[in-house]
Amino acid sequence: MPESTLSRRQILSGAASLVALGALAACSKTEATAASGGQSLLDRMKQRGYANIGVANELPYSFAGADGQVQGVEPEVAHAVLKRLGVVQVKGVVGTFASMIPSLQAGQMDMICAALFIKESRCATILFSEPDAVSNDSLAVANGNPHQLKSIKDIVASGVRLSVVGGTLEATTAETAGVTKDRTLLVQDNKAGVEALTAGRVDAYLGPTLTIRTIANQGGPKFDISEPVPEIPVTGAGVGFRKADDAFLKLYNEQLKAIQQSGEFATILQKWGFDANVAMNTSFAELCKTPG
Amino acid sequence: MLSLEGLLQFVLSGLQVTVMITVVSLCIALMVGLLVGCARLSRHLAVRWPAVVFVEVFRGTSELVQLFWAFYALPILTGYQLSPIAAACIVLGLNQGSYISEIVRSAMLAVPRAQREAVVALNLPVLTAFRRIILPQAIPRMLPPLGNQAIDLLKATSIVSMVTVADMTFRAQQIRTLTGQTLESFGIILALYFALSSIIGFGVKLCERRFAIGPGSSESGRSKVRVAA
Amino acid sequence: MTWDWSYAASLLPDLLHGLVVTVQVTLLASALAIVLGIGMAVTWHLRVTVLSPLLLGFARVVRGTPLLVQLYIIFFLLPDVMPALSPTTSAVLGLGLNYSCYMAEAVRAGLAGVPVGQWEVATALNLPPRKMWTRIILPEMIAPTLPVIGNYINSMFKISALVSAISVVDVFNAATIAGNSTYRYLEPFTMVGLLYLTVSIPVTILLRLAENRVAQRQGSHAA
Repeated sequence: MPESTLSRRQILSGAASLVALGALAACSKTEATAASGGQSLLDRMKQRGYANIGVANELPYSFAGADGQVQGVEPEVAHAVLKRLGVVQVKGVVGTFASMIPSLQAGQMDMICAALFIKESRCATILFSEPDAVSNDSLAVANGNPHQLKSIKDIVASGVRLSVVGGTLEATTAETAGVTKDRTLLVQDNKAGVEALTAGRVDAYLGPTLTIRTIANQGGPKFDISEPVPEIPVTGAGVGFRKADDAFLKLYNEQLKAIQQSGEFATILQKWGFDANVAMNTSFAELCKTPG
Repeated sequence: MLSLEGLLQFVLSGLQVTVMITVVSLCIALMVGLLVGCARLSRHLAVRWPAVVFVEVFRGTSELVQLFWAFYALPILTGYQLSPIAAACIVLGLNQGSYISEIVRSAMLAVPRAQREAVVALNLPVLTAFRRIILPQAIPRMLPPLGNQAIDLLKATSIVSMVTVADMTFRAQQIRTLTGQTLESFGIILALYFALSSIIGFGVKLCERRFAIGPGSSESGRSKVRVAA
Repeated sequence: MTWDWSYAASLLPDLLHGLVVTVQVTLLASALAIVLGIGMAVTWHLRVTVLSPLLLGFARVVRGTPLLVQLYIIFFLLPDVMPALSPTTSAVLGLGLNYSCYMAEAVRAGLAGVPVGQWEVATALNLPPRKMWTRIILPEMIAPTLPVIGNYINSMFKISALVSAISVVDVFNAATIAGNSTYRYLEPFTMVGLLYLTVSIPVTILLRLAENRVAQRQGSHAA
């Protein structure tokens, strides 16, 4: 009897200390958002020793590899820039596309490196660096393209179903072009978008050309890739920041320019299949006029 | 493409997170459940009503909504944010705590009235009486439903994958998007989740045996079920 | 950032539309879960060879693993072996299968609660099995099982938010989509929480009344 009383107490006190421990861990990780702290973003990242960068699971734009290392064109460009600013390490906060802006605004990350495409409504909400990965969008369609789909207009005209990732430029562009809600399947990630096509849930998937190509190369069911769609002539991704961090944005853009001149930028872009010259000849200001 | 070893390594890093979140939120849930459950039995309206509201709000809305609210809306309202894992543990702890409070409440109510009266008659200090007399009699009654609740909690942890926390489900999703090995990754995590919930079930059985003492134990209730099955 | 009432109000039509989807998915999945649950419980009761232990194992695995993972498997893996189901059908199937394993337990307990005398009466009257089940056993067990089933449906309603992960535009997903287009998430997520409460609180109260009624009835039975 006394034995069991003792162990009962042990269990209870053990539970209590675990809770205390958990609460402590939670508090120590609690950080004031930019709005409440006077410290600059750069100081905070230097103090912490790393930057929290938002990435999505989207090859070759941004992803976290099997070793947990953050990879892809935009995180690597950002990492090169951050190193020059004295922030040596980056840690990935991996989420869906749709979660990026709210996560940034809620202070869960320092910047978005998920290759969000620069567009009008996003420019009104957050800050962007000069573009780093500039490319275009295409359609993934069934083998042989039975519906002859080459543009978003064709999708609207032939009344077929389309999958797009929720909260993306593609989602808003398709909606404004007239693809109705009941014919749109909003998915969480690009892979799910392509799978919706190969599973026969939709007739086309609209997304970044290079991403669709990467998925095609992973193996799995075959599908065709259209030429870039005319409705989205150019897609330009930039690193996203909170509006309060405009001072840091300036520093970031300066160093981005520096790695562009040193050739480091071109090496990273080439590695992931992007054209550095196209990116350097596109400006943030013109991309901001992209509707949606 | 990842080798089986690579897959396992990837998934196991998620397993650690799943286990950690389950343990921490279970501790929070037990504390919250005990406190709120007792508060609901209080004679004072000012103690009882906040507890009722707490339980109704947390049981009346979806856990996913609570998690997203704590993750995205709370920082905007207050200017402070919790790390994703902390937010996950607190939300799961509070949510499951609201269910556990009901278990606690009904177990307390089931302690024979004479026992509660005896405590008063003996003039025992409230906390001592609670710890030495009431709780030991309530625990055997609470254990079976608590075991189910713990398994529910384990399963609920999978939703943290939707707010950037790298648990097992998150890892499986990552493998799906990066290499397309959906069958392998989801097969592995399904087996691991099942193993974890079996371990919890087994642990609760052991506890039940340990705490099954004195009057008011669930012995009679259990044998009834066994005959029926 | 502060609460914007006009924005919150403008969200209502989309959210209510989503709520209808949530309720539809919940009700369809409940129907599926009840039918499968009864089937499973009766199979167990009759100790059907092979099928009984197989279903028992299935129910154990389903109850021991997360619904979210099950939904992902149905949505992402099932199309490899059969024609793809729509997101809504996948959701109903996933939610229904998951809860059928809980419903089965409830029905099993209900069956176990049928007094031995009732089985004996059925045998004594030489009733054919179908009549015995529909006329005697099922009516006897419905009253005590109903509140349990009601509680499961109530909890399905809340957990159904997970189907947003497989592209169903339920009330939760409607809130996310609204947030995605305005980048304001405080109002949609708060509103969606309130909508869940407006449905679940009355349902909970009704269920509690039903439970009390059953308890009273059983009390008078025993007396």
